[in-house]
Formats: sequence, C-alpha cells, structure tokens
Amino acid sequence: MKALKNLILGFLLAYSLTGCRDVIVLDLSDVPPRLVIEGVITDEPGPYYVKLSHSVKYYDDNTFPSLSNAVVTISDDAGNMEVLSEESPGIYATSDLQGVRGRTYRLDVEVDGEKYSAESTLPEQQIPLDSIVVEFKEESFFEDEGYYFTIYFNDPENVKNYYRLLVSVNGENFIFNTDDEDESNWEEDDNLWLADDKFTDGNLQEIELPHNLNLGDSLDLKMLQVDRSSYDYFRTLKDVLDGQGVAPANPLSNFEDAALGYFGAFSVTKNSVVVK
Amino acid sequence: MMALLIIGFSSYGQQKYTISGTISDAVNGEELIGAAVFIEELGSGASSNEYGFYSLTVPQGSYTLKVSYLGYETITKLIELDSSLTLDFELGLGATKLDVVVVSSEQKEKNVTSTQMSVNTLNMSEIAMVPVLFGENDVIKTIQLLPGIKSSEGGGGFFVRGGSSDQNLILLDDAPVYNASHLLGFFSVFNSDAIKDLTIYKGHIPAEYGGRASSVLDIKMNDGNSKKLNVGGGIGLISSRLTVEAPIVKDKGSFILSGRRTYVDVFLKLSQKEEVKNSILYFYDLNAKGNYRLGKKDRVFVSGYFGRDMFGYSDLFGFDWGNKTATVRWNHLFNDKLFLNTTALFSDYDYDVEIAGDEDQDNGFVITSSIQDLSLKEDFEYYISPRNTLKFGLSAIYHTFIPGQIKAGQNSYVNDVELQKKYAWETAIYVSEDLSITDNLKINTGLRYSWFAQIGPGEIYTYDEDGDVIDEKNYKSGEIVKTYGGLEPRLGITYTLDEESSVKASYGRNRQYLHLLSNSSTGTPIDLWIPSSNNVKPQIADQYALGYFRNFKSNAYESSLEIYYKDMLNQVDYKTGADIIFNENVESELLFGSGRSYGAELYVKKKVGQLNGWVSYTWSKTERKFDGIDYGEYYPASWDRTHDISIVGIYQLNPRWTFSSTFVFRTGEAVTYPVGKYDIEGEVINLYSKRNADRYPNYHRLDIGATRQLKSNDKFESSLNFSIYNVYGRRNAYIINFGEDPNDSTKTRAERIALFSILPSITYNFKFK
Repeated sequence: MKALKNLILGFLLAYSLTGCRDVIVLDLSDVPPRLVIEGVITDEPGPYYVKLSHSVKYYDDNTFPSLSNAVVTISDDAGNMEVLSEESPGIYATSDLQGVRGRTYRLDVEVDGEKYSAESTLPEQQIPLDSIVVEFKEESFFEDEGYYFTIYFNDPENVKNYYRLLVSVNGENFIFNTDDEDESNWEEDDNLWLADDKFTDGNLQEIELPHNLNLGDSLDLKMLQVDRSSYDYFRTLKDVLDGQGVAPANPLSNFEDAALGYFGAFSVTKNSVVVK
Repeated sequence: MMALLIIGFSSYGQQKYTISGTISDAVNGEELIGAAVFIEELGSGASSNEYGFYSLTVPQGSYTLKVSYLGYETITKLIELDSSLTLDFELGLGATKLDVVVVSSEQKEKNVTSTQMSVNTLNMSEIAMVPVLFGENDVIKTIQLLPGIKSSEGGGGFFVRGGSSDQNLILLDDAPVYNASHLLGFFSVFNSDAIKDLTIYKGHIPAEYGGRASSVLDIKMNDGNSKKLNVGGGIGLISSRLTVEAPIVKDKGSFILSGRRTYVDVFLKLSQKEEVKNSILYFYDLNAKGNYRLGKKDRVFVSGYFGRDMFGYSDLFGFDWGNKTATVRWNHLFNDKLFLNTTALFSDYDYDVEIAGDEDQDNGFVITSSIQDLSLKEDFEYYISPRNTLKFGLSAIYHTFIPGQIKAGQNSYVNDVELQKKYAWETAIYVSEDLSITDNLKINTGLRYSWFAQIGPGEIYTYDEDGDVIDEKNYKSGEIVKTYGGLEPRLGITYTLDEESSVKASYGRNRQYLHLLSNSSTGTPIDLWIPSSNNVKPQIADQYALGYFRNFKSNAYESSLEIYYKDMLNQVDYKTGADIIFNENVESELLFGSGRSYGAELYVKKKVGQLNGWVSYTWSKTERKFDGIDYGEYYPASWDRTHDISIVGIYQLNPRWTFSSTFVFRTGEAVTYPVGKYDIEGEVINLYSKRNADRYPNYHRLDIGATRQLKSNDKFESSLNFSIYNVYGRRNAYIINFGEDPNDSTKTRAERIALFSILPSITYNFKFK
C-alpha cells in the first residue's frame, strides 16, 4: 500500500513539476522528560543489559541523557532474581543470570521512588535459522540489479510464532540506496524485519529481504523469536518510524503508559554466509 | 403525524381538480428536476420531482399558470380548470445565456419557502464552470466548496457537519457507491458528462433516505436525449471523454452512453526509468442509461455504472479496484395524484491484488475483497393538494461482505486464507408529509423505522474489552445472529416572514449500520466496510439545526445562515497499534466512542446575471471521545476545521468568453505532532502525546479558469477550457514528515510535502448535434 501511495505520489509530484518538499520550522509543544527503558534477556549466555535514558525536546540535539542510580532487578517465574549493577552511566548489566526458554521474566526499575515493571516470556522452542540462499537478480520494478538473499526456516505448527530478524553486512548496519542523488538521504537499515506465521503456520518459511549485496560481502543474520508483547512493540515501533497509521501514537509497550521502551525475552539463533 | 394528516385532508370546500404532467427541456427532452409550476391567482404552486413530474390539485377556476426553471424561458399559460388536466411543458433555454433571467417577484423562491433546510443543489452548468485540478470537472470537488462540507487535499472523502467520510450516503441513480474515489482520491468516480443533477442533504435528511449518519449525496444520471442523436466529448490533459445519446423512439425513450478514460500511463511511457515505463496506472468509467415510456402512466429506466482503477507492473504485480452499480426503475402513475417508483438495485465495490511469483506463475497469490448490495425499494408520492404532499415507502437491502481472501498458487509459500464472509439485511419503512398549516407556516414530518439483522452462516466470536474471545458460536445460513432497529424521526418547520425571508428549524435522527475501517485519514482502496454485529453497534446521529433564509433583489441573491449541533453515538476507531491487515478478529481491534459537532454556516449565492457564484463560510468544531484515546477526553477529529471559506465567481464576458475563479481558505487539519524524541537501539524515535492536538498550517489556494466558445453552428459546437490550479503556488502541506536531518545526524527536522504548485491545464470539448 505504501509502495502504491509513493508511486502515485511520485508521479503526481513529477507531473505537477513544481510540487515540492521543503523543511519548515514548527512551533512544537513539549512535555517533561520521560523515562525510556530498554531491557533484553535471551537464551544466549549473559550478561544481559538494561538501558535507562530520558526523552528530549524535538528540536534539541540527538543526545539523550542517561539515568544513573536506579535499582534494576530481573527475576523469573522459577524464583531466580538478580539486581543489576550499573556498568556505565545508564547501562545496567547482569552477572550470573541465565535466560531459560519457557520461563517468564520480570524487569523492575525503581527511580526516585517511582516503580516501573514489565514481563516477557522467553519462547519455549528454539527455531533454527536453517538456511540463507543468495541469488543474483536482474533489475526490475522492485529491485536494482544485484545479489539478494532469502532465508528459510521451519515454523512449528499450531503455535503462534513471532520473529524479528537482525541483518548485519560486513559487521555493520546496511545502508539502502534510495536512488536519491544525495547519499545522505540513503536509509540505514532499522533492522525491524518482522514476521509472524498468521498465514504461514506450520510451513517452511521463506522470507526475502531487500538488501542488495555485492560479491564478497559477509552476511550475519540473527533471528529473534519473541513473544506477542515484544512483537507488538516492534510492530508499532516500526509504524512510528515509518510514519504510518491513522494518528501517530507511541508504540505499545509492556510498561504500558508508565515508561517508554520495552522489556523483551528472546530466543536467538544465528546464521552467516559470504556472497560468492 | 395523524393529526397533521387529518388537517391535510380536512381542507375540503368546493370542487377540486388536478393539473399534472411532466416538465422537460425542449432541446434534449431531459426532464427538469425542481422546475416550478405556479398559479398566480392562488399564490401557490408545486415543483417537479426527480422524474420531472408535478401534480397540483386546486379548486375549479380560471388560472394563469407559470412554469419556470432557472436559465430557461418561463412559459405562461391561461387555463380554464373544470376537469382534471394533463399538461406537459417543454422549456426552452433563454435566447442567449447572457440574458439576465427575470425572476418574477411574486414567485416565492424554494430555498426560502420549502421545509427543507441544510440542502444544496448544484446543476451541471455550474459545476462545468468551476476551475478544477487537471481540468477534470468533478462533482465531489465542487460540493466541497459548499458550506458545511469539508475536504482534505488529495482525499476523496468529504466530511459533512462533523461526520466522518463513511457517514455520507453517496447514491448514483439510487444505487449506493461504496468508494467514490479514483487514484487515491484525486478524482471522483462521477463523470460529469453523464450526470444531470445532484443534491446534498447535510441535515434534516428526508425520511425516504437512510443508512448513513451524516449526509446524503443524491446524484442523478442523464436520461439521454429523447429528441435526436448527440455525440459529445472532451480531450483533456490526463483524460478523454465521449458521450453518445439518442432517442430510442422519439419522445418515448432514449439512451445515453458515456465513457471516460485517463491516460496517466501514456506519460509513464516517456520515463527513462524502466520501472516507471512498465507501470500501469489509469482509471476508466462507463455510464449507461436507457429509458422508455410504456404509455401515459408507465416508464422504465435502466442504468448502470462501471469503473475501475488499474495499477500494476508488467506481469509481476497488479492492483485494481472499482465500483459496479445497476439500477432498474419503474415509474407508475396510479392517477394524477399518486406516483409510484419501484427500484431494484445492485452495487459492488471490490479490489484485487495480484502478486505473481517468478516465471512459473504458480507460486504467486491473489488477494480479493468486496462488498455487495442487492436491494428493492418502493417509493410512493401522493400529491393531496398544493399544500399537502405525502411520501411513503419501504426498502430492503441484502449485504454481502467479503473482507478478504487469499488464493495462493500451488507452490506459493503463502497458504490459502479466507476471512469469513458476512451477511446482513437492512430494511426500512417510512412516511413523510409536507404540509402548509397556514400561509406562513409549513411543516415536514417524517418517520422512518429501520431494522438490521446480521445473519449467518458463520462462526461468530464475541470479544471482551481487551479484544479477547469470550464466546464462540456457529450459525447456520440465514440464521439471525444479532438485530438492531429503531425509529428515525425527522422534522422540519418553516415560518415565512415575508416574500423573501423565512426561519427554519429541523431535527433528524439517523442510524447507520455499516462502518468503514480505514488506516488512513484520506481513505484508500483497501478500506474495509463492516456490518454492525454482536460486537459493533450501529452509529446514531441526532442533529438539530436552525436557519434564517433571506433572498435579495427579487431573488437574484439568495442567502442563508444556519447553525447546527450534532451528537454522534457508537463511533468506531482503531485501537492504538491495531493489527488491521487481514485480521479475522478485526472487530477486536476497535474502539467505540462518541462524537459531537457544532457550527455555523453562512452562504450567499448570486444566481443570475453576467457575474454569478457564491461565498460560503463555515465555523465549526468537531470532537470525538473514546475510552482508549487520551484517557477518554474529547479530542479534535482530524477533519475538524475551525474556519472554512470558499468563494466561487463565474463571469460571462460575452457569448465567447466565460471566466471563473475559486478561492478556498481553511484551518489546517488536526494532526499529532511529536512533542519530543528518544532513543531506542540507536534510532531516534518521535515521542507523541495528545491525539490531534496540533494543526497543519492553514490551507488556501486560488484557481482560475476561462472557457472560450469556438465557432459553432446547428450541427456542431466546441469550446476550449483553460485553467490554472493554485495560481500563486501556495505550498499547502499534504504531509509533514518528522525525521532525522540528512545533513546533520545530530538533529531532527520537519519536512513538508506539498502537491500541485501552479498547475495549468487545457481541455477541448465538442458536441455534434
């Protein structure tokens, strides 16, 4: 839908010749700084990190104050609990805790007497990222010429599964060439590649990604299997980044309205390939 | 109601007779809607209905009858009424259009005297003169210049007195049109060449209409020239049109065929880019109508519309959408006072998305979705006396909803999926009476009872507030799942102060059983219509309006001031972050709330003379309230516009040149701007707070147009139309995007996208007669 809208919009802009884009300065209202919590636990070995920071005004610089001296605790439904230590300003780390599949984790943060908490379940079954197939494609409507990859994995039947894929090319986030002459307008991969099995439950999953690779590129993929609440967070986070939806709103967080950000428990599998 | 009927029937005295007949255009035989028949001696009269039929029952006597219609020569006829008469009139156009039409001062004007308020009628000659985008005359764009009707740039939807865009009942020859937009709303589906007349009811909706909460836009197609063959058309920058109309048997029946096709994709071929070159992007419309008189008392009409937008890329991807409608009508005159219209209707809106796989086509898939109506209506009009007209009737609609199905090729990795089809009955009965109680006081009472049933087959889920399934039940085909129904009273009162002024008041309740789910404020082809159900209640709107109507200079100017208040119940919106794509449980992603709207509308129109046109100004406020949004506080609807001004001027310099211009100004649409930003995984994320608390910059624009009549004779006429859209190149915000500054990654910025800066266009129109 967005592609169609963009094409029609692009056409109308081109056709009207003088249609335009320009930067305007708006008088925006602002709110007091809000707490942002990013917490992740996985079935990989620790340490796991929780990051605390604050929001800033829209026209301020992109530097976000970190929040120190908070009490950060992660516990699970098997009676384990650990208080995290502040490793660097705003970054809190575990030392012993190990994420276990099937357990539900709880993050508690206490700042200036205010308490924030969220829960997330580490999915029970690990799903291996079976294979990555790279193939060369001619130029078409959808793509420039180049090497593209498709991933395959088996989705278990009768379970709702939610996935997020993280792509790294030569150890960095990929930059998409948007055909804009100005390279500064090219888009960096936000790595919010999401999939669920709503239409493909129990099938061999086939997910084609739009990264245009060169010979010799090394591709590292990380697949997160996430629970529903994390998936909803990433999905609505992507809506915010893409400017989609009827009226923009903050992503659906498992901290509800109390804090921004999320706490997620993920099962991780990896795979790599070199383009040749 | 009954009391009024008795008053109506009780005014018997001497012997009465009926004069009835049809009023039509002398040149092409098209019936004239709303032409006035006036008896000078009695100071009363009637106007023709939508089939050109009128009926007047008056005491025996000698009378001077005047038949008039704006822009036509008035016919005066002396009659000796000692038995009932059938008198058909054919009105000729004024000798030249330049002639100032004399509007007789004793003829009271309808806008002042009728019980109807909150209504606007536009004729096609007015619409043809208003300058528009790409020179494409457009009824929807033109009605947005009327008071109380709001638009958004590029949006096909319109908003009437605070109602959302799905609250407008858009009828083409009585068939509902579910998506009136082409090309994401830059054009409407109504080809002006095929249209005769349109009326929009913004409040006090007559009882014969129902099913939508806010307004009725009633569009009538041309019947076709019943005198002789006519071929007309136009060649424009982005589209061409051709219309053929002719008698089937002279003065007995006629037909019209009208087509339009855009050739946007012709320009795409010029592109250097392969992906643009191989793209398909166009739309077309076909309108057809035929009518035939089966004798003095019967007439049949058959009409249809078919239109489609086509978008695609070679064989890989296709996306098309469009409406089909069909209307079969039978007019029957039982006698010179009782008129019956029987209508059978069909309407369908659907879209298809085709995604092909690689060379072997069996790994692609197709997504389809549609809404379909079958309907039958009986509408009676009973002309008891010039002071009393009764209308009554009934209707039934059978709705079929196909929310979505995916058909996958054999080797496709996608499974076949079909969301459950939904079915419903929507029925209504109504009666309304237009009655003059005294010479000054007129009253229109209407009562409509509507009844809606969601029916099986299907697996029906019930959800709690969190959207979780709490009950599941299987229903057999035709089994009733849930019913709703209720009265919809409508009342209009007019008190005439003097020859040229009146005050009016009205109240109306409307129930709406269908809801449009959209993930965009401007509307898209994939918006989903859903029926009321066990989870979704019907929308109810109550509107109260008060108006002062005043004409000046022997009715050369008409003006009105109206104020209104509207309450809306059971409004529907998506939950934040709703998952709306292909969701079987889409009803669980909805929020239900209420809305309110109030405002004042000023309208001044000059109807005659070299210079005519109108000025409209609306002040209004529209708010919505949902438990899940902004903690249940009222917030502005995105289509809330505090101020809205339109000025339309048409100036006929001489028989060859006509100039026109339009100016619009409106408060920017209510939007949600970020109130800050924060960091997630190194990405800058905008922080939002209250819904629609901000405004786009004010919108304003000036368009101008000119029409040059070229040499013409008895057999052929042609003209050239020039127009410039957005003359002073105002950069009206279509979208404002908030994101990282590409030149400085430590900053974020706001970028405005504006469409259609100064945009000239030219159209050549012709007609073989």
